[in-house]
Amino acid sequence: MKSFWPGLVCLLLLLLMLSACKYTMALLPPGRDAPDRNVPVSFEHLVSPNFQANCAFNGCHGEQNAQVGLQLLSWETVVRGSEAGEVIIPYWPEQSLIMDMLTGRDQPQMPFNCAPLDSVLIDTFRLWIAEGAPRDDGTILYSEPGPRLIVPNWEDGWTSVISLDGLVISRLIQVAADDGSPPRPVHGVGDSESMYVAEENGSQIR
Amino acid sequence: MAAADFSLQGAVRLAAPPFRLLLHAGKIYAAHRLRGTQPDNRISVLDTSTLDVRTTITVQQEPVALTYDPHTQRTYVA
Repeated sequence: MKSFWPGLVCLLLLLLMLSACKYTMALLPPGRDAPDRNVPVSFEHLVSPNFQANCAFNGCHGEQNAQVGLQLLSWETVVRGSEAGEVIIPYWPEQSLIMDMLTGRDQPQMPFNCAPLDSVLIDTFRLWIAEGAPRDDGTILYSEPGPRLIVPNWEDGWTSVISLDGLVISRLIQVAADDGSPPRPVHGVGDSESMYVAEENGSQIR
Repeated sequence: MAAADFSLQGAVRLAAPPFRLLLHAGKIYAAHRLRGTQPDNRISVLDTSTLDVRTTITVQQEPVALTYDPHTQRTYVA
């Protein structure tokens, strides 16, 4: 009789893992096997339904007990990010944490304990972020003038623009020196009109 | 309210790498700490509307920080 319990426990664990994925599904762009790059990706019709179907559950990234404070419920909550900061950087899917988590570049891969999302769906998310992660009315996060902090990242050549309204990275800017050397931003200043970045390589101000 | 434009608007090459910037009253003050491996001692003053270098200020050596005090209307160099 004792040998019965380990098997039962394993079965229950398996059922528990499977139940966590019972809602997992992919809503793909209708009639397409790849995102249409000529048509802007609709957050309401393509991005949000897939967050709802795969991520936005209580205890995961839903309304209650959202992991790391990230709620994937609406455009506003998605772009607000988590308690650790932004998960999406408009125009830069390669630098957006949510893409790292969905593709498995960062672990644990999301959706947690479930099969990875369909690659077409991931490409749809990637395209949406590359388009600026807009709301369906065209609004792009932190496009309005506002208080900003300019942070040069010397090592990787990026200049991060941090919105002081949301305290998240709202843009990344990378400008190569015109002599072909890698960008080495060392300092940035700005006002409501312009931002200026000093680059070590090429001895430039941009 | 117009949307912000994050694209590159222009660039200016200076005689030495700019190390710190100060933006004030339509001018950019760019401190040069090093020129190659040698210490530098200059601050370039640029016009923001044209990005032309209007003048160069020579200080003691290796200016590493700049700040402006609106009360005294003076610029301080470390």
